[in-house]
Amino acid sequence: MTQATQKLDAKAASIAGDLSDKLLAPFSAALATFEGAFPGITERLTAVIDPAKLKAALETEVAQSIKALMEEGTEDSLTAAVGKVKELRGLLAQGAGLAQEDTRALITKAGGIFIGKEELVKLGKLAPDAVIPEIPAKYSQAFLESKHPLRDKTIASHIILGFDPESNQWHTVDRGEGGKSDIVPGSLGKEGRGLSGDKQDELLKKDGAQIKVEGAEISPLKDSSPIERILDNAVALHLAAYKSIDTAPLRGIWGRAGDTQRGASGCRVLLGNSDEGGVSVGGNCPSDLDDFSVGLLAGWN
Amino acid sequence: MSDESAKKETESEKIIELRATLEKELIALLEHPLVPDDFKKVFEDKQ
Repeated sequence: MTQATQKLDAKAASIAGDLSDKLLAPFSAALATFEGAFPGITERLTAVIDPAKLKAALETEVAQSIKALMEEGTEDSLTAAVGKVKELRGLLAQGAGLAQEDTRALITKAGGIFIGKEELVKLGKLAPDAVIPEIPAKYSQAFLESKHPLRDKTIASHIILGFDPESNQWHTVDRGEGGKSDIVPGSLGKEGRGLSGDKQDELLKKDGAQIKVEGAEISPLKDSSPIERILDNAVALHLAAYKSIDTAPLRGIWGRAGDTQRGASGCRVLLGNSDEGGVSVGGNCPSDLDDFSVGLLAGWN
Repeated sequence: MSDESAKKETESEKIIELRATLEKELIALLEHPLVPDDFKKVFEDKQ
């Protein structure tokens, strides 16, 4: 190990940082936004991102050590420099975008369900060879700054919220007890128009869906029509929010945010990262479907 | 070509290859928005 490498390692190990650091300001702002949707997400993400490690790795002295290795110009020193630069790139990649498996673990730990491309393929919502386009960072940022219909919204359980890709319009409809609506889950089609929420439920049941689902039984990959509908809705909503993305595979799919008679069900949005650049949805269903949070995990490049 | 000079040539090729790899990796690293300016300046001075 060269002196420069030793110095580099010693320096990297000695520096500590915190989230308020200028370097991590972008994360802090984003995490503050996410916190409203997923309480505790900051703590969980921090554990994965390890900001102190990132900060230490990008100290000026580290750059100088790499530069010294470059100037040494031997095969060993250049190999060490390449290794260090690759390591830094890896750290940045981890800090800038959680690995999908990390994200999956976080969502799962939060009591949610993570749906990635693999699951969508299994659900028959995507062709195995489908390419989900990356969502450019500018869209992610636009989302965070926008008045996205889902952002920070709490949706009553009997509200259906959907995006109609044909008209590019968002709709929220209060199905209410005994209420009527013109917007209905896609599987009901015109048949569901103007019917009360209860009647729609009845039809949905006939359609194979189980409207009342206990949280413990939810499994998107097994018999889970309701959760599929919710996820369909969430995927369609988010994909449609980014008009550059083809929503055709999800067209006509509607869903619903929860299905209880309580009026304060939660349906909130989390915008996160996936190093695979795809779009994934994580549903956070704490104890039952009274509260349902949707997480959008979009490419952040 | 002696064994010694052949060895030196191989080493030189390896070093050229390493420098090219390093340059490519370094450019990608420095383009990352989270890399602080002070970190970048170290390499700008070299350029």
